[in-house]
Amino acid sequence: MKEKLLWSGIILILISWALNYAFFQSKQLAEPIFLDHYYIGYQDEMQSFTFYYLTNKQDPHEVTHVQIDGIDSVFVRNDDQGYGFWHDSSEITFDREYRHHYLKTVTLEFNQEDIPLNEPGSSFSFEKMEVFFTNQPSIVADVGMVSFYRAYDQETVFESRMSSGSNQHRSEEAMVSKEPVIIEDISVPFPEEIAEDIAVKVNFDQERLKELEVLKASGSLPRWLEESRELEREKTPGILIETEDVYPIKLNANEWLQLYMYFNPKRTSYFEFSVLIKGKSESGETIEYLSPMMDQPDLEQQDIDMIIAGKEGGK
Amino acid sequence: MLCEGFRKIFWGLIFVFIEIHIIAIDILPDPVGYFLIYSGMNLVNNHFEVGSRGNFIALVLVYFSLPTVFLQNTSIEQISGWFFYLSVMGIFNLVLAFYIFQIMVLFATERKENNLLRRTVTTFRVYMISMLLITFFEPFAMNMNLTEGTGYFAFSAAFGLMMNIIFLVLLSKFSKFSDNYFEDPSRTKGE
Repeated sequence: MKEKLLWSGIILILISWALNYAFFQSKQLAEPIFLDHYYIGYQDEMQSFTFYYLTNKQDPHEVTHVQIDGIDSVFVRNDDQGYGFWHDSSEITFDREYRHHYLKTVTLEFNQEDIPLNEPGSSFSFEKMEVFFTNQPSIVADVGMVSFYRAYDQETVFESRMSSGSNQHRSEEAMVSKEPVIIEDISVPFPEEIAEDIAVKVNFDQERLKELEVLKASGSLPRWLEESRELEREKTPGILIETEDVYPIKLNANEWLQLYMYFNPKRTSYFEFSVLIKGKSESGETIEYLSPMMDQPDLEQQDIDMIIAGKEGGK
Repeated sequence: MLCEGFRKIFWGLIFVFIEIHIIAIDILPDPVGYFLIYSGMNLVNNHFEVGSRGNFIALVLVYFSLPTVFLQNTSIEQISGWFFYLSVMGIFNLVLAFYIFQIMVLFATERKENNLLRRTVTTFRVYMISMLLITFFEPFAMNMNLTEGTGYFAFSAAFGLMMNIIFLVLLSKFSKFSDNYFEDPSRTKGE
């Protein structure tokens, strides 16, 4: 073995070091990136939302507190800050780990009295928040869109009988009307921002839905319902809520209504809001019903690269 | 004296490869190991009257490895100063191994131990090429995620350990030779 070979090997190793290090440096974020969140809170006493952000693996940022224009105080609950004797606070926690970044979470708690919602029917929204970190300068982060509405303090005309979500990016809810209703509209919030990423189907085929009555007795689901969960969106029963001539949907007392919700599995934003059903009771009173849902994307390395390219390019 | 030299190198390498930390202190400290290698190489080189680059590297490592007495491999965070330090150590070790192999080849040639020579030359080649490859791919770990990185490290650690054991076993053969029938100064020539 020639000495020359050794030295050329070592030179190659040094080049490998230099190139890998340069690539590593090029992937470092100047500051953490918050992903997009589409959240709606119907203000009860306390509402908490979890926000996701990307931070460098090398020296990851930890949120200490958050300031939002218009909200007096936000309580930060770092999910990963455990208490107790065995907790090692120096340990880094994360939701998911990628090549150069961690996806970390911070949960914010909003108290009713801190949010400016005085009038009935009023709402409050924010898209940015100033985030402060341990030993790092603060940033103003775009977090998507978060809205609060005053809680609908009314008797509901629907009784929810069954709701389920899955990690397949779909969820459903089935409910029964307590009195005759006329449904005039079913809608999802943020129509401009997320229309592409969500599809909702409504099913009011009473004959089949009646079979759900067995839920009360035995708790086992009818076979068609189990099967419909495996089906493609196009094949599941029901009609897309955007279809104009669906409305009005008339339901007698004790009739069923079922909602199927589909989320684009390729999207990169976080959802937590409700489908709003609007209608009239027999006596002409306006009724509103909220069917809550939440869905998180499964982000792969390519998604992370794309998010970073998009967010950093926009600056 | 010659085989005493190989014996010293052998024990020096044992000190370097084995790390047992008791309350953060390595009880088989690397600088001691490198010093043994240094003095062992001195003995062998004096005999062959060959260049002293290997000695020089060993001597550098005696001082350069001082921090490892208190440094535990497992507690190194990624891409810190110590991470670079350990990588530089790795490269130095490769160079040192190269010179140790070189004097082994020299010895086997001189003694006309053809079987041993063949085995040494083969091991030399396989060891250097595979260790150079492992070291070449090491920095790729900083651009890997945890799963990929752990997989690579597990593979390279196991493979590297295997190569070093082969190296040590071969070296122990050299330290078992006797100096006695090796007195003729006319045969002691360099490369």
